[in-house]
Amino acid sequence: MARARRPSPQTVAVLDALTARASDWSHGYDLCRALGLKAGTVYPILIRLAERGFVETAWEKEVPPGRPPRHLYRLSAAGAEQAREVRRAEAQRTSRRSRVAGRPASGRGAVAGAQP
Amino acid sequence: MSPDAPATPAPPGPITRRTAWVAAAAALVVLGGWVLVIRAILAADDDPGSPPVEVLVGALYFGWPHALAAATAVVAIARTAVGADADARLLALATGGRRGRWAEWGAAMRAELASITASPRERLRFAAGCALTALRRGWGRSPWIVAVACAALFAALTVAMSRASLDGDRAGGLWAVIYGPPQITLLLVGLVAAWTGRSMRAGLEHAAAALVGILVGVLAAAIPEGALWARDAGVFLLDGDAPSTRLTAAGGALDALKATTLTWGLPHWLPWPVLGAAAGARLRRRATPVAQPVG
Repeated sequence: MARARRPSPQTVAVLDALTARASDWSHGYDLCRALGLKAGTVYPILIRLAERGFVETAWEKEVPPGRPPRHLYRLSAAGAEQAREVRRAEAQRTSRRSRVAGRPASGRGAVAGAQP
Repeated sequence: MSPDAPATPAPPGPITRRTAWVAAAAALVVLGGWVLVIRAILAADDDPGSPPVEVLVGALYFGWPHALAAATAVVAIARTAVGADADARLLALATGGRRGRWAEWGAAMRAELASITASPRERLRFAAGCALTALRRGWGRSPWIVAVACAALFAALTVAMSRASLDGDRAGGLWAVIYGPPQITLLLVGLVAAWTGRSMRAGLEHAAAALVGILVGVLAAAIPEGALWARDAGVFLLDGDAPSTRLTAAGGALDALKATTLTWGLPHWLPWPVLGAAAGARLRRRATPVAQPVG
């Protein structure tokens, strides 16, 4: 069984960027530029997401002469669900953190478990 | 990846006359290096007046696999690194020789690079990032299995030869393990992997993993065995020679380490992954009829 892992901030950024484009296709280089990430970061993420079925891929159909068709990426239905799940988990973590940060400090053990 | 992908692995480019000259020059440079090494070894052995023919024969005897591997590597790189500029050639080299979906990812990266006209720096940044990704990913599990198997095999072989010799003629057991068997193993692993993986790259990946496995396996066994030989027999594990002064356990272990990594081991293993992989890929190409393009 695959281990449930918290996605890296870069993976979350790629998921967010693809979510923002909904059903439109994206190019790898455009994702790099839009996110300010290197190709060595974005492509491993795209490969992993595609292997897990979260990203659909296709090749350009209409290609200007003189260059090869580019590869296109967009979120699959499973990927869109995954992106929502990741966002939900992020939001929960953020709200938990802000609750903990807002509580008056009363020793190291006080953070874990105790509810008012 | 999409099933209608247009990307098939790019066929290797032709061997141009320039490539052939560069390959020959590489082989000569490597042989020249071996001439210097042999001369230095003979000088260190207080035999500085060795006739040049003897030095040349020694260089040819020990250096021919390295010279051949250098020429082979030059030809393979020149045939794989095909592109409009240095960035495209770098990416072609890093993504070349992959099969299936990894070949498609390579094609995707190359096509993306072809569309980047922003600036040379931007192209280089993109090509370097993609090249790193292509080199790091897609190895699969089989090279690691080969590495572990080779490590276990050579560790067992080293211990078996060492103990058999220690209980018998005490002529040393390491030389017979590290000079010959690794070369044959690396040649075969490279050849079989390139044949089954249908590319020189597959052969190189598996043979490189085998080389690391052999090195780790031999060292893991030879270092403690070298110390044992020094303690029990007072001679070197490599060949059973006795030193001029008393041999300590640390000295015995260090000699085994040096023999494996510097003198009789690793330097002589290095060409064989290249030669095995190149031979396997070439045999496979000759055995496989060229597919006619469809449509």
